[in-house]
Amino acid sequence: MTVGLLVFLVYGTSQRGKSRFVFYATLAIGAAGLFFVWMPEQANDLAYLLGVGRGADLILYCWILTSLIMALNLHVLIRENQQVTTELARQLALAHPLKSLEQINQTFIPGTAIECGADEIRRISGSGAEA
Amino acid sequence: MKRFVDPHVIIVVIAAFNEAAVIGPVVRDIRQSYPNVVVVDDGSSDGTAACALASGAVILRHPVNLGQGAALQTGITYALARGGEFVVTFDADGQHACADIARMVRALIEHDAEVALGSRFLGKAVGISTARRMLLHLAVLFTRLTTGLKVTDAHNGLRVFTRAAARKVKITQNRMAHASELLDQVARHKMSYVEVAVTISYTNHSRAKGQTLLGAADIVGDLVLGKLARGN
Repeated sequence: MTVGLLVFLVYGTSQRGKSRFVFYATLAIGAAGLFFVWMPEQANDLAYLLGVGRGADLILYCWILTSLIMALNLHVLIRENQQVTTELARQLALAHPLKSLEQINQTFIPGTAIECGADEIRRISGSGAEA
Repeated sequence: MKRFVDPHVIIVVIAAFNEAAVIGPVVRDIRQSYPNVVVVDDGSSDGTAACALASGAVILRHPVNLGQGAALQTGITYALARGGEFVVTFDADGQHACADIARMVRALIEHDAEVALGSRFLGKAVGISTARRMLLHLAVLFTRLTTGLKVTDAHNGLRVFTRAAARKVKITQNRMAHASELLDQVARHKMSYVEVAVTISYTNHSRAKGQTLLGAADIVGDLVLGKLARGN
């Protein structure tokens, strides 16, 4: 259990640049976990004070809380990856403004079709945009 | 005080996702008054880009669907790069009135403000349902509590930014939470703003694309996660 909590603390330390909330929460919960593992009688005393009843129950609740924080951290990481993807897509779009139907066709997702009215598509030929 | 604005310095940004059915008329209507229209096709799988191009817009195309907030930021970045003095955000679904743009630009100049925000509750909301009206009032309450801005409409897609204001805007909320994020940035950067009465005309198409109560919950979740991401 001590090893597991130490790994958890290392994980929390590695998150310090990504989310301050996750960093401090992981440190606090990991340190508390180590304290209770090394001094289980204190866990019983604290659990009694908090009205939980047993130290084991208190630790279980803390573990659930820890899991929720880790899930939240994963959400934050996914969000950061989305921001990278967004910036990449944005730079691609900005670098290649589309000014002809041929260019649009080249960027279409395979398997999809242009469903604009035929008259409008014919009007595209040779036209540019002003902006 | 300068009263006349050359329409060429106004760039209208439209974020569009699978709007082939309506984007053509929307772009054509705007271009009768404002020649510079940029449609950011957010990874559509229909003919949105082709229809907008046929109507005379410049097309920027995201290779994947990212969301309206991401598309608007792409369009705003493009508008600034092209030297736009005023950047207008306009919905693709045809629920805005093009005539409101001129009144918003005029209000910006007359009030010497940086941002003009459209308000359907100062103006008209034609065909709005009771449920949507209540949802939007909740959004206004949320915005007032979180930003301190005394706005009357929080999720109106019709806005006009001066060049200086558009440079301060940095939308990081890819999806619908961008509307709240924009107002948060208006408050944080202490941008001067004016609300202008506008008309929103709901159609079956725009209703189908509008926010639901679950969508509103997603917005709150996105905003909270955005705040936690870097502890800001």
